[in-house]
Amino acid sequence: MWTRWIVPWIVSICLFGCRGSFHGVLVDPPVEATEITATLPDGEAFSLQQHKGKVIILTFGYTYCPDVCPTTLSRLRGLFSALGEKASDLVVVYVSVDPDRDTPERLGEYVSAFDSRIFPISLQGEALEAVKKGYGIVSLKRMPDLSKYPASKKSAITHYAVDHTSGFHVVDKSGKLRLRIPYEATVEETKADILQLLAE
Amino acid sequence: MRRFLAALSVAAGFVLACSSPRAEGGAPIVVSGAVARLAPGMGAVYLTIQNNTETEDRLVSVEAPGAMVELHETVAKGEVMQMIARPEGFVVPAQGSIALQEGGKHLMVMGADPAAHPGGLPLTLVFARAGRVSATAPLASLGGK
Repeated sequence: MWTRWIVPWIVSICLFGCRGSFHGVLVDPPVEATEITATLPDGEAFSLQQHKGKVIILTFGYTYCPDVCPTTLSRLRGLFSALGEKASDLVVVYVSVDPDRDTPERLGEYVSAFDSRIFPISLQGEALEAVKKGYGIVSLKRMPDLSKYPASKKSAITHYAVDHTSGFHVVDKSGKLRLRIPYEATVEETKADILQLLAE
Repeated sequence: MRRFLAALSVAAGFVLACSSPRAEGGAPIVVSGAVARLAPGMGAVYLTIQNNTETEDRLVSVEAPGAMVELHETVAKGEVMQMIARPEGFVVPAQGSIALQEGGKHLMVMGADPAAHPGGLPLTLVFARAGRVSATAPLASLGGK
């Protein structure tokens, strides 16, 4: 009589196992990761494809961001720590979505304050647009609504914010875009997903 | 005897008055849990504001030495994070609290020099009713958890 439960149990286990236990959302089917080439702040050339064979996290932000981006960068530093020795098989790339203000030098100083292992990528014009398109990134300047400010402060408000896609976009060791890990994921959840990809 | 009872009543009344919640807190607005995360040129301060009065109040501005501070809020629209300025301020409900935290309301701090404030960033929070309230936000490491 207990045998009537075998098939449903096997199906349930298989569904769980076959889907894997990623916290992130799988890119289905995986796509070839869009190449990124740039000049780093120290003048060295960067190429995403040169890091094939490692797991790569790409994330997008800007330096005039007080909350989301520092939180993201802090978590990435925590991820490196949590991975221990396996951190050497992880590459993290931070691409600015604010080409007007984030020069390579400014971006480099900002990113290195969190972790010098993170590659700061400052791109302009069509080069940036191609990368954003390749990874499905949206970014939009948000100008301040000066009507909400008192007259005495209007002239002092010159900065703008940049709304942008958050989270991590993860490329596996074969160079395929495999996973999107949402902003809300904890360091431990992200670590678990990265370890799975490192084990492939 | 009657004098004794009268004195006892006065004393009891005094003790009861002193034990009311507002008198125990000592202030209409209490700021707690402040922390400043300052990256080069830009940072955020997170904290909790408790309003111990019977009337709603509003945080209208914040001052920090050598820096420009604005009230902002992060709003998630699907995968897109929006960073919205809130110059109108943050309402703090009567007998209630609000928490400024990662992914939500926060203070945007521009131009603060962490090296100049090793003991924490001094802040003056300006409320519509309670006026100026001081707090200090210890500096958080930029390393994540």
